[in-house]
Amino acid sequence: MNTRTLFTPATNAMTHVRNEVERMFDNVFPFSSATRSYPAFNMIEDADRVYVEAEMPGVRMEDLEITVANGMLTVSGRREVTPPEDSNTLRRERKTIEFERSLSLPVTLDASETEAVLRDGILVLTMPKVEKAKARRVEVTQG
Amino acid sequence: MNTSIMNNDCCRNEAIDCVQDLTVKSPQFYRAAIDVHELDDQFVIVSDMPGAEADGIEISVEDNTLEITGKVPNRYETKGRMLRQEYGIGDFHRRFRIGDGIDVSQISATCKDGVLTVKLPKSASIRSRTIEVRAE
Repeated sequence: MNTRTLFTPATNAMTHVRNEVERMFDNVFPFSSATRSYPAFNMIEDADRVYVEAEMPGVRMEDLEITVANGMLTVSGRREVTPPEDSNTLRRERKTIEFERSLSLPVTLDASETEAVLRDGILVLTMPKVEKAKARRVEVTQG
Repeated sequence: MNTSIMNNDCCRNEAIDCVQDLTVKSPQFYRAAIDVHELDDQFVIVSDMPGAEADGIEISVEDNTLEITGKVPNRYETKGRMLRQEYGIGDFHRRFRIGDGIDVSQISATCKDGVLTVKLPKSASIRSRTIEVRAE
């Protein structure tokens, strides 16, 4: 299979193909990528921290890998959907998926201080801003 | 015509052992993704409800209609400035028609990692039985 060598090695072939397809679409439709990618991210900031949240019901912490490096956050993992034993599935809307998604972070963050909490199917990453990225309040004194 | 009625999950409309999706589109709620499984003695509905706590999940049965609502508190109200929003926050909801063959008094539910599991036991009269045939 000569064509295999054209691709960079990926731990999971399907994830890799999906990422490639997404990248292709992102180039054609740069504004439509958000709704299709998994997981969906929300990002909030306050004065000292940036919070990144993702909905991932049924995912356990041990199924997740989270890295923050060079201003990029990458979340990858697997969500397993297993039907009960000896059952007949009448309706299926939930799927087993493997995912990997990266997001560029808006300001300089202290990656070593990233806190990850997974609760009720929501992943919350809390990352403190580094000192110089914080907005400064300049005191104006009357001369 | 309500198209969800056409969407039979199992058997006929009149079937007594039946769990059939009746959810209609509503601007008020998010549609939680579900799986429905049938076992020998029960139906199991599994539903993704990220952000819903066990306390905030309401399950009600009235006139053969089962409703599941998962309340999700808006955790952004006090949190700061939104930089990126790819999903909205709101309550989840699904509605089902269930047959008379379900023992409503024995319905139970558990919630773990944002996944709700509802068990709907079949009443004894409709469970499939194995009849032993003895050789003479």
